[in-house]
Amino acid sequence: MTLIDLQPLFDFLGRFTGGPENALVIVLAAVKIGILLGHVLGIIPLIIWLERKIIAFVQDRPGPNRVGPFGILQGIVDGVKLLMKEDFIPSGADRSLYLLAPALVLVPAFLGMCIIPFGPVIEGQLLFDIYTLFGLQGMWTGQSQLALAVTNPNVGILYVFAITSVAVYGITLAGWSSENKWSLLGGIRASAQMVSYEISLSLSIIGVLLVAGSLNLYDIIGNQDGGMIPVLHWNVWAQPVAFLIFLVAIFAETNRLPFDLAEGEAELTGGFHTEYSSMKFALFFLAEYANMITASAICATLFFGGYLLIPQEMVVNVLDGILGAFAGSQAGLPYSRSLAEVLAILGAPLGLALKIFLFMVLFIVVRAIWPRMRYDQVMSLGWKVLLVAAIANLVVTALGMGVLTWVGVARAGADASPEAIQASIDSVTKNWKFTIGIVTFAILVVVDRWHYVARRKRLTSKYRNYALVPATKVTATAG
Amino acid sequence: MSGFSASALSCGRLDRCKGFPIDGVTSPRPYGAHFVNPFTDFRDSFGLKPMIALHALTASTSISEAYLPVLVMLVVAVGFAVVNLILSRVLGIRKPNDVKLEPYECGVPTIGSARTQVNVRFYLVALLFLLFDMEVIYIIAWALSVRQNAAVAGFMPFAMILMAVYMAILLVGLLYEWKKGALSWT
Amino acid sequence: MGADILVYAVLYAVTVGAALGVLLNKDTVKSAMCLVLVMIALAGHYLYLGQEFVFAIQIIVYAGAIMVLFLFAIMLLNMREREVTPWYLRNSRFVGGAFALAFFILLAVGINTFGTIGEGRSPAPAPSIPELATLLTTKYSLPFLLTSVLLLVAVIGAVVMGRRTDPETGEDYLADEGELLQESL
Repeated sequence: MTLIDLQPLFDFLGRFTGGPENALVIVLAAVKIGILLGHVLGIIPLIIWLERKIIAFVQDRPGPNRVGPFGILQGIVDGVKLLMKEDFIPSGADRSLYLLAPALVLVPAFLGMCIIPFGPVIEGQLLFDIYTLFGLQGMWTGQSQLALAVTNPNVGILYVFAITSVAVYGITLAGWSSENKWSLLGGIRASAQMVSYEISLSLSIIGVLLVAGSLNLYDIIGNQDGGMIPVLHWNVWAQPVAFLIFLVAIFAETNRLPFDLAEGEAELTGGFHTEYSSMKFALFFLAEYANMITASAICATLFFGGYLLIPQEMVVNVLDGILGAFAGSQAGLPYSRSLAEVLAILGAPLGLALKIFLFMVLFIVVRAIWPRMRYDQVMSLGWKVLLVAAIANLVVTALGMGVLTWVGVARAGADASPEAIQASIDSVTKNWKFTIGIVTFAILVVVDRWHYVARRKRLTSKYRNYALVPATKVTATAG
Repeated sequence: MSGFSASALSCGRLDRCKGFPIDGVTSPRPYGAHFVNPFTDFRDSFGLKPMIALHALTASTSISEAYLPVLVMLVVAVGFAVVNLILSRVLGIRKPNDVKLEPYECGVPTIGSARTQVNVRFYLVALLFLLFDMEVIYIIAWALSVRQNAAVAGFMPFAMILMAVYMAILLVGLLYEWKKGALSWT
Repeated sequence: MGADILVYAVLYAVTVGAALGVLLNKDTVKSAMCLVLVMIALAGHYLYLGQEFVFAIQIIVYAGAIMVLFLFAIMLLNMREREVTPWYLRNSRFVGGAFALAFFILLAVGINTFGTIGEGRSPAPAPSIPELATLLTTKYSLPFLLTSVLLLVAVIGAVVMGRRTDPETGEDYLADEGELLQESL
């Protein structure tokens, strides 16, 4: 059944893009980007409202409550206000770099969103049916895939690293070009902090990489699928320490409290964006929230099974049962299982949205209750605690994978074919990867307790004569 | 996706390669796959004969399929930024005066330029970041190859020893930095 | 094919334009930003040649890490106005021009002698990322290990460069900006 024949359109567009296939890719990308940006840009004002409400709740005050019910439209009104504000350039500023900086912050933030896998890959018969619907059967090949992500490059995680490594420039330039001492301090602090935590971030992801065995984000999600309860296969059970390191590192990468030394309004009056007004300031703000959403999505993908929440087949079966029964009761209603499959696929992003929402709430609650760290504490946490922990986690994970591989080879038997050995290794590593998690987490707890006790001993002996610091009040802090 | 050239990298995983088991030498392992240690068999380790090939886990995305969308997003992002900057230029009021355009330093008159030399510590941090970044990339490559060739006999011990030596050398560097105080901010 | 040539033309225009920007900008920070653009454009060339892994590494290492280092070095030394011009930089325009000309002639002769690029020697199809990774840990495992030694030396160099030992007390301290500037000239 063909709904509308788009083949001539793509043939026409293909003349300018080197083939109708490229035209299809571009049009699909535009549609996916439209959907993604529509959702992200639409949700950001709500998140800002939620943030202000939660912080107000923590501080026992009402928060925004004038515009719309519960003040829910506050974020939108603020955006309009910022658009109408005076747009000035300080006299000392380097005009071109000053104007370039907000764009340089926003572009990596948007490019980072490209990689988020918000739904499964559609392929096979279902994709052929969809192609047929638009009259594109001629372009379908056996290998055709439609991933519900703007892009699905083979380099996967490396793409994320590439984007984060380029994201430093915008903030640094904003600080440098403003010709303001606060800005310069904020910008250079932010860039040094971001590069410091990027190492721990990458090293913690390598732990996941070792467990999942692929850079591709869809492979990593697929590795966390299986069984009736996919939750049991989540990487967070296999890599709890890596998850904690990753979590701290994304707080630092997005310059959120307790790591917002780049802004630090108590000491730097706003840091790198002190001299920015109107929409230029709004772009910094927007980029920060877009980065938070991307970071939450990547975290959900790497450690919490991405868009997977309920087994996809179960959803399809339930929907098929309900819809089939309904179609059966109405005479002459055409129905096929494909409809249930399509609905299940369209519902998959809800799983990711739920996880992103929970992470955003975490970001906000941490901001509400956590004091800002000192800069030397931030740097020593990054280089002396997280880096060492990430390396240790990596070593333990590698050893654990070695053991699991050995078990897999042994279980396959002596005369198994290489394929059988590979399958055996895969199943053993998938089903027993949580043991690595138990070991790494146990080591973390032991080391942390040991560090705590040793530090307490040191401090109590140091302050014995003062009696001002009771032993119970001495807590282990970073650095 | 085929391999480097006509001869190499076109025959599946390590054990499916033409050179396995090595010409005439039957593998001591019962299951056929045999890994050649590059330190003991120099003929293979220095490129005289192709020895490696693998299969990717998933069907790989072609370059244009993967990066045309990124290009589209780049255009959208740049367009979004430019449109917003122009909009605020057009819509906002503009009444600049000398005091308003001064650098904001909480009301205190500005002394000197803001572009002073920054602390050397930041430079040191960037330098160490560069070095660790390189290490991270090598470790990523190692992690990928370990998972890919896990079924090949003899590969796992070799890879583990390789990484142990690599890590040991790197940890010496880290320890040196620590002892010299390069990681301390104060 | 038309679109192919267009992409190629845009890539070359951006690369050459940004490279000219590096040379012609008086402001060192702007020069550095142009150099970032050159690095990203080079990554684009790798992508065009089908080397996806190299593309990612190029951006991570060159456009990311190395250029951040450049930027910090510029901010560290604050090279806005050059105070002292060392002798080897006085006639840099002519020396650089001569070098560029010599390099161009070398390239022209080389291409003329060994045939044009892309004619019957299109770039080999890229190995997949796991293939590359496995090559690195097997066939090239010795270079892999030597890299770590190189990085170790670099780490020691970085630390030695940044730290000074007080000759009287024997204590380590962080080098002063002025001290570094003195040594660099």
